[in-house]
Amino acid sequence: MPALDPKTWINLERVQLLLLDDHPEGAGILTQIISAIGVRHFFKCSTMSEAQQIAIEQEIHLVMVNANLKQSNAFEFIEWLRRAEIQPTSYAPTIMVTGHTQRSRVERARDCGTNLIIAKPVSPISVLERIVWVSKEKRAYVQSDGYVGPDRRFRNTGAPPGVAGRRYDDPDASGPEVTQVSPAGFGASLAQKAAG
Amino acid sequence: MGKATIVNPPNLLGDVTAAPGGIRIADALTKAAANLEAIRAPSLEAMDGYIAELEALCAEGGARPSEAIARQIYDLSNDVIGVAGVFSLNDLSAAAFSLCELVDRFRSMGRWNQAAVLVHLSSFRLLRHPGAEGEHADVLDGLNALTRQASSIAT
Repeated sequence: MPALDPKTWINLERVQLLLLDDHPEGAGILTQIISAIGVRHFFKCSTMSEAQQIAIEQEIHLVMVNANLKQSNAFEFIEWLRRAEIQPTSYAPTIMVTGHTQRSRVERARDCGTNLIIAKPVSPISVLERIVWVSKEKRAYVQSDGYVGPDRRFRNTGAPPGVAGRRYDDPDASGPEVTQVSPAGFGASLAQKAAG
Repeated sequence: MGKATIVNPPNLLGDVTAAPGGIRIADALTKAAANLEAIRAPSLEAMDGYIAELEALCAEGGARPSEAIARQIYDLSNDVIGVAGVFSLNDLSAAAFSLCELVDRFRSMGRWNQAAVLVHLSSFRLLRHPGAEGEHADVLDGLNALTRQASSIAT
Protein backbone atom coordinates (compact mmCIF):
# COMPACT_ATOMS: atom_id res chain seq x y z
CA MET A 1 0.00 0.00 0.00
CA PRO A 2 1.72 3.23 -1.14
CA ALA A 3 2.37 5.86 1.53
CA LEU A 4 0.23 8.99 1.42
CA ASP A 5 1.84 12.30 0.57
CA PRO A 6 1.17 14.59 3.57
CA LYS A 7 0.89 17.59 1.24
CA THR A 8 -2.00 16.17 -0.77
CA TRP A 9 -5.63 16.89 -0.01
CA ILE A 10 -8.44 14.49 0.73
CA ASN A 11 -12.11 15.31 0.62
CA LEU A 12 -14.34 13.03 2.69
CA GLU A 13 -17.00 15.69 3.38
CA ARG A 14 -19.65 13.99 1.24
CA VAL A 15 -18.90 10.47 2.40
CA GLN A 16 -21.70 8.67 4.25
CA LEU A 17 -20.03 6.19 6.56
CA LEU A 18 -21.64 3.42 8.59
CA LEU A 19 -19.71 2.34 11.69
CA LEU A 20 -20.81 -0.84 13.49
CA ASP A 21 -19.01 -1.28 16.81
CA ASP A 22 -20.41 -2.20 20.22
CA HIS A 23 -17.18 -1.58 22.15
CA PRO A 24 -17.40 1.97 23.56
CA GLU A 25 -13.64 2.64 23.63
CA GLY A 26 -12.99 1.15 20.18
CA ALA A 27 -15.90 3.06 18.67
CA GLY A 28 -14.73 6.24 20.41
CA ILE A 29 -11.23 5.91 18.98
CA LEU A 30 -12.52 5.34 15.45
CA THR A 31 -14.98 8.22 15.76
CA GLN A 32 -12.21 10.62 16.76
CA ILE A 33 -10.10 9.55 13.78
CA ILE A 34 -12.95 9.58 11.28
CA SER A 35 -14.16 13.03 12.26
CA ALA A 36 -10.62 14.46 12.20
CA ILE A 37 -9.98 13.27 8.66
CA GLY A 38 -13.04 15.09 7.41
CA VAL A 39 -15.98 12.65 7.45
CA ARG A 40 -19.07 14.70 8.31
CA HIS A 41 -21.84 12.15 7.92
CA PHE A 42 -21.42 8.97 9.87
CA PHE A 43 -23.92 6.62 11.40
CA LYS A 44 -22.72 4.91 14.57
CA CYS A 45 -24.49 1.65 15.27
CA SER A 46 -23.98 -0.77 18.11
CA THR A 47 -26.24 -3.60 16.91
CA MET A 48 -26.61 -5.45 13.64
CA SER A 49 -30.31 -4.60 13.39
CA GLU A 50 -29.55 -0.87 13.76
CA ALA A 51 -26.88 -1.14 11.06
CA GLN A 52 -29.24 -3.04 8.77
CA GLN A 53 -31.86 -0.33 9.16
CA ILE A 54 -29.34 2.40 8.27
CA ALA A 55 -28.09 0.40 5.28
CA ILE A 56 -31.66 0.11 4.01
CA GLU A 57 -32.58 3.77 4.59
CA GLN A 58 -29.37 5.61 3.65
CA GLU A 59 -26.98 5.64 0.71
CA ILE A 60 -23.79 4.40 2.34
CA HIS A 61 -20.39 4.87 0.67
CA LEU A 62 -18.16 3.16 3.23
CA VAL A 63 -18.75 0.61 6.00
CA MET A 64 -16.43 0.03 8.95
CA VAL A 65 -17.15 -2.92 11.25
CA ASN A 66 -15.45 -4.22 14.38
CA ALA A 67 -14.79 -7.91 13.69
CA ASN A 68 -15.18 -8.82 17.36
CA LEU A 69 -18.64 -7.56 18.19
CA LYS A 70 -19.97 -8.64 21.55
CA GLN A 71 -23.68 -8.83 20.82
CA SER A 72 -23.79 -9.26 17.03
CA ASN A 73 -21.79 -11.10 14.40
CA ALA A 74 -19.73 -8.84 12.11
CA PHE A 75 -19.34 -11.51 9.43
CA GLU A 76 -23.08 -12.12 9.31
CA PHE A 77 -23.68 -8.39 8.88
CA ILE A 78 -21.32 -8.13 5.90
CA GLU A 79 -22.74 -11.30 4.34
CA TRP A 80 -26.24 -9.86 4.79
CA LEU A 81 -25.17 -6.51 3.27
CA ARG A 82 -23.67 -8.18 0.20
CA ARG A 83 -26.74 -10.34 -0.42
CA ALA A 84 -29.37 -7.73 0.47
CA GLU A 85 -29.33 -6.20 -3.04
CA ILE A 86 -29.70 -2.65 -1.72
CA GLN A 87 -28.49 -0.37 -4.51
CA PRO A 88 -25.82 0.98 -4.23
CA THR A 89 -25.07 0.24 -0.56
CA SER A 90 -24.62 -3.53 -1.01
CA TYR A 91 -21.51 -2.72 -3.10
CA ALA A 92 -20.08 -0.23 -0.62
CA PRO A 93 -16.46 -0.91 0.31
CA THR A 94 -16.21 -2.47 3.76
CA ILE A 95 -13.28 -2.31 6.15
CA MET A 96 -13.19 -4.74 9.03
CA VAL A 97 -11.22 -3.71 12.12
CA THR A 98 -9.86 -6.58 14.12
CA GLY A 99 -7.66 -7.19 17.12
CA HIS A 100 -7.10 -10.92 17.43
CA THR A 101 -9.20 -13.17 15.22
CA GLN A 102 -10.02 -16.65 16.45
CA ARG A 103 -8.44 -19.32 14.28
CA SER A 104 -11.85 -20.86 13.73
CA ARG A 105 -13.05 -17.58 12.23
CA VAL A 106 -10.12 -16.56 10.00
CA GLU A 107 -11.64 -18.30 6.97
CA ARG A 108 -15.03 -16.72 7.68
CA ALA A 109 -13.38 -13.28 7.85
CA ARG A 110 -11.86 -13.87 4.40
CA ASP A 111 -15.07 -15.23 2.92
CA CYS A 112 -17.71 -12.86 4.31
CA GLY A 113 -17.21 -10.32 1.50
CA THR A 114 -15.19 -7.59 3.16
CA ASN A 115 -12.77 -5.52 1.07
CA LEU A 116 -10.04 -4.99 3.62
CA ILE A 117 -9.03 -5.77 7.18
CA ILE A 118 -7.23 -3.33 9.48
CA ALA A 119 -5.37 -4.79 12.43
CA LYS A 120 -5.75 -3.07 15.79
CA PRO A 121 -4.33 -0.96 17.22
CA VAL A 122 -5.50 1.47 14.57
CA SER A 123 -3.75 4.76 13.90
CA PRO A 124 -4.98 7.81 11.99
CA ILE A 125 -2.57 7.05 9.13
CA SER A 126 -3.58 3.37 8.90
CA VAL A 127 -7.27 4.32 8.72
CA LEU A 128 -6.68 7.07 6.18
CA GLU A 129 -4.47 4.90 3.97
CA ARG A 130 -7.07 2.14 3.88
CA ILE A 131 -9.90 4.54 3.08
CA VAL A 132 -7.91 6.03 0.21
CA TRP A 133 -7.02 2.53 -0.98
CA VAL A 134 -10.62 1.25 -1.06
CA SER A 135 -11.78 4.49 -2.70
CA LYS A 136 -9.50 3.69 -5.64
CA GLU A 137 -10.25 -0.01 -5.77
CA LYS A 138 -11.62 -1.37 -9.03
CA ARG A 139 -12.11 -4.99 -8.03
CA ALA A 140 -15.06 -6.75 -9.63
CA TYR A 141 -17.77 -8.27 -7.44
CA VAL A 142 -18.55 -11.95 -7.54
CA GLN A 143 -22.07 -13.19 -6.93
CA SER A 144 -22.44 -16.93 -6.44
CA ASP A 145 -24.32 -19.33 -4.17
CA GLY A 146 -21.40 -19.58 -1.79
CA TYR A 147 -19.94 -16.10 -1.91
CA VAL A 148 -20.94 -12.52 -2.67
CA GLY A 149 -18.34 -9.79 -2.50
CA PRO A 150 -15.18 -8.40 -4.03
CA ASP A 151 -13.16 -10.84 -6.10
CA ARG A 152 -10.91 -12.76 -3.70
CA ARG A 153 -8.24 -13.48 -6.30
CA PHE A 154 -6.07 -11.00 -4.52
CA ARG A 155 -2.47 -11.71 -3.68
CA ASN A 156 -1.60 -12.08 0.02
CA THR A 157 1.85 -10.60 0.44
CA GLY A 158 1.83 -10.80 4.22
CA ALA A 159 2.00 -7.86 6.59
CA PRO A 160 2.44 -4.34 5.09
CA PRO A 161 6.03 -3.22 4.43
CA GLY A 162 7.83 -2.34 7.64
CA VAL A 163 5.25 -4.10 9.82
CA ALA A 164 6.02 -7.44 11.44
CA GLY A 165 3.29 -10.09 11.36
CA ARG A 166 2.03 -10.72 14.87
CA ARG A 167 1.53 -14.45 14.58
CA TYR A 168 4.71 -16.47 14.28
CA ASP A 169 3.22 -18.32 11.33
CA ASP A 170 2.22 -15.11 9.45
CA PRO A 171 3.61 -14.96 5.90
CA ASP A 172 7.19 -13.68 5.98
CA ALA A 173 7.23 -13.62 9.79
CA SER A 174 10.73 -14.29 10.99
CA GLY A 175 10.01 -15.03 14.63
CA PRO A 176 12.52 -16.64 16.95
CA GLU A 177 12.82 -20.40 17.28
CA VAL A 178 10.35 -21.94 19.70
CA THR A 179 11.92 -22.24 23.11
CA GLN A 180 10.52 -24.26 25.95
CA VAL A 181 9.36 -22.05 28.81
CA SER A 182 7.21 -23.19 31.71
CA PRO A 183 4.56 -20.77 33.00
CA ALA A 184 5.88 -21.11 36.54
CA GLY A 185 9.49 -20.41 35.57
CA PHE A 186 8.53 -17.50 33.39
CA GLY A 187 6.21 -16.10 36.07
CA ALA A 188 9.09 -16.11 38.56
CA SER A 189 11.38 -14.22 36.20
CA LEU A 190 8.59 -11.74 35.49
CA ALA A 191 8.03 -11.18 39.22
CA GLN A 192 11.77 -10.55 39.64
CA LYS A 193 11.69 -8.05 36.79
CA ALA A 194 8.68 -6.24 38.24
CA ALA A 195 10.34 -6.10 41.67
CA GLY A 196 13.70 -4.96 40.35
CA MET B 1 -20.89 -25.94 -8.34
CA GLY B 2 -23.39 -23.13 -9.10
CA LYS B 3 -22.84 -20.31 -11.55
CA ALA B 4 -20.93 -17.18 -10.56
CA THR B 5 -21.82 -13.75 -11.91
CA ILE B 6 -19.21 -11.03 -12.17
CA VAL B 7 -20.36 -7.43 -11.84
CA ASN B 8 -18.40 -4.19 -11.98
CA PRO B 9 -20.31 -1.70 -9.85
CA PRO B 10 -19.13 1.92 -9.74
CA ASN B 11 -17.08 2.76 -6.66
CA LEU B 12 -19.23 5.52 -5.19
CA LEU B 13 -16.69 6.18 -2.46
CA GLY B 14 -14.21 7.11 -5.19
CA ASP B 15 -16.81 9.36 -6.83
CA VAL B 16 -17.74 11.30 -3.68
CA THR B 17 -14.12 11.78 -2.63
CA ALA B 18 -13.06 13.07 -6.04
CA ALA B 19 -14.38 16.60 -5.46
CA PRO B 20 -11.76 19.28 -4.81
CA GLY B 21 -11.40 20.74 -1.31
CA GLY B 22 -11.36 18.87 1.96
CA ILE B 23 -8.32 18.78 4.19
CA ARG B 24 -4.57 18.39 3.71
CA ILE B 25 -3.43 14.94 4.83
CA ALA B 26 -0.85 16.40 7.21
CA ASP B 27 -3.52 18.57 8.84
CA ALA B 28 -5.94 15.64 9.08
CA LEU B 29 -3.32 13.55 10.88
CA THR B 30 -2.46 16.38 13.27
CA LYS B 31 -6.12 16.90 14.07
CA ALA B 32 -6.65 13.16 14.59
CA ALA B 33 -3.69 13.01 16.98
CA ALA B 34 -5.18 15.92 18.97
CA ASN B 35 -8.61 14.25 19.04
CA LEU B 36 -7.09 11.01 20.34
CA GLU B 37 -5.09 12.88 22.97
CA ALA B 38 -8.36 14.34 24.24
CA ILE B 39 -9.73 10.86 24.98
CA ARG B 40 -6.47 9.36 26.29
CA ALA B 41 -7.29 9.57 30.02
CA PRO B 42 -10.82 8.12 29.92
CA SER B 43 -9.75 5.41 27.44
CA LEU B 44 -6.83 4.29 29.61
CA GLU B 45 -9.05 4.38 32.67
CA ALA B 46 -11.51 2.08 30.91
CA MET B 47 -8.62 -0.18 29.87
CA ASP B 48 -7.43 -0.42 33.48
CA GLY B 49 -10.96 -1.53 34.30
CA TYR B 50 -10.66 -4.30 31.69
CA ILE B 51 -7.40 -5.49 33.25
CA ALA B 52 -8.95 -5.58 36.73
CA GLU B 53 -11.91 -7.49 35.31
CA LEU B 54 -9.55 -9.95 33.61
CA GLU B 55 -7.81 -10.64 36.90
CA ALA B 56 -11.14 -11.18 38.66
CA LEU B 57 -12.34 -13.54 35.91
CA CYS B 58 -9.13 -15.54 36.00
CA ALA B 59 -9.47 -15.97 39.77
CA GLU B 60 -13.16 -16.87 39.47
CA GLY B 61 -12.53 -19.39 36.69
CA GLY B 62 -9.71 -21.15 38.53
CA ALA B 63 -8.10 -24.18 36.90
CA ARG B 64 -11.13 -25.09 34.80
CA PRO B 65 -13.10 -21.97 33.78
CA SER B 66 -16.45 -22.25 32.05
CA GLU B 67 -16.63 -21.48 28.32
CA ALA B 68 -18.44 -18.23 29.18
CA ILE B 69 -15.57 -17.07 31.42
CA ALA B 70 -12.93 -18.14 28.88
CA ARG B 71 -14.77 -16.16 26.21
CA GLN B 72 -14.97 -13.08 28.46
CA ILE B 73 -11.23 -13.31 29.09
CA TYR B 74 -10.64 -13.50 25.33
CA ASP B 75 -12.97 -10.56 24.59
CA LEU B 76 -11.52 -8.29 27.29
CA SER B 77 -7.97 -9.05 26.20
CA ASN B 78 -9.01 -8.16 22.66
CA ASP B 79 -10.27 -4.82 23.99
CA VAL B 80 -6.88 -4.20 25.61
CA ILE B 81 -5.14 -4.76 22.22
CA GLY B 82 -7.17 -1.98 20.64
CA VAL B 83 -6.85 0.65 23.35
CA ALA B 84 -3.26 0.11 24.53
CA GLY B 85 -1.64 0.37 21.11
CA VAL B 86 -3.45 3.58 20.21
CA PHE B 87 -1.90 5.27 23.24
CA SER B 88 1.67 4.08 22.65
CA LEU B 89 1.51 1.09 25.01
CA ASN B 90 2.63 -1.19 22.19
CA ASP B 91 4.20 -3.83 24.43
CA LEU B 92 0.99 -4.13 26.43
CA SER B 93 -0.94 -4.44 23.18
CA ALA B 94 1.40 -7.24 22.05
CA ALA B 95 1.04 -9.04 25.41
CA ALA B 96 -2.74 -8.82 25.10
CA PHE B 97 -2.51 -10.28 21.58
CA SER B 98 -0.46 -13.15 23.00
CA LEU B 99 -3.12 -13.79 25.68
CA CYS B 100 -5.87 -13.82 23.04
CA GLU B 101 -3.89 -16.35 21.02
CA LEU B 102 -3.27 -18.50 24.12
CA VAL B 103 -6.92 -18.44 25.21
CA ASP B 104 -8.08 -19.14 21.65
CA ARG B 105 -5.86 -22.22 21.55
CA PHE B 106 -7.01 -23.40 24.98
CA ARG B 107 -10.66 -22.96 24.01
CA SER B 108 -10.23 -24.88 20.78
CA MET B 109 -8.63 -27.76 22.74
CA GLY B 110 -11.14 -27.63 25.60
CA ARG B 111 -8.22 -27.37 28.01
CA TRP B 112 -6.64 -24.65 30.17
CA ASN B 113 -3.55 -23.60 32.10
CA GLN B 114 -4.31 -20.97 34.69
CA ALA B 115 -0.63 -20.25 35.41
CA ALA B 116 0.00 -19.30 31.79
CA VAL B 117 -2.95 -16.91 31.84
CA LEU B 118 -1.84 -15.42 35.18
CA VAL B 119 1.66 -14.83 33.81
CA HIS B 120 0.16 -12.82 30.98
CA LEU B 121 -1.94 -10.78 33.39
CA SER B 122 1.10 -10.09 35.61
CA SER B 123 2.89 -8.83 32.53
CA PHE B 124 -0.02 -6.47 31.80
CA ARG B 125 0.71 -4.69 35.09
CA LEU B 126 4.40 -4.43 34.22
CA LEU B 127 3.77 -3.25 30.65
CA ARG B 128 1.05 -0.78 31.64
CA HIS B 129 3.79 1.80 32.11
CA PRO B 130 5.82 2.35 28.95
CA GLY B 131 9.51 1.52 29.09
CA ALA B 132 12.37 2.32 26.79
CA GLU B 133 12.30 0.86 23.28
CA GLY B 134 13.07 -2.87 23.49
CA GLU B 135 13.18 -2.85 27.31
CA HIS B 136 10.41 -5.42 27.54
CA ALA B 137 11.50 -7.55 24.60
CA ASP B 138 12.40 -10.49 26.84
CA VAL B 139 9.00 -10.35 28.55
CA LEU B 140 7.21 -10.45 25.20
CA ASP B 141 9.49 -13.25 23.95
CA GLY B 142 8.62 -15.26 27.05
CA LEU B 143 4.89 -14.73 26.62
CA ASN B 144 5.01 -15.67 22.95
CA ALA B 145 7.04 -18.79 23.79
CA LEU B 146 4.40 -19.82 26.34
CA THR B 147 1.63 -19.32 23.82
CA ARG B 148 3.40 -21.46 21.24
CA GLN B 149 3.51 -24.25 23.78
CA ALA B 150 -0.21 -24.04 24.54
CA SER B 151 -0.88 -27.63 23.55
CA SER B 152 1.86 -29.03 25.76
CA ILE B 153 1.09 -26.95 28.87
CA ALA B 154 -2.72 -27.20 28.80
CA THR B 155 -4.35 -29.77 31.02
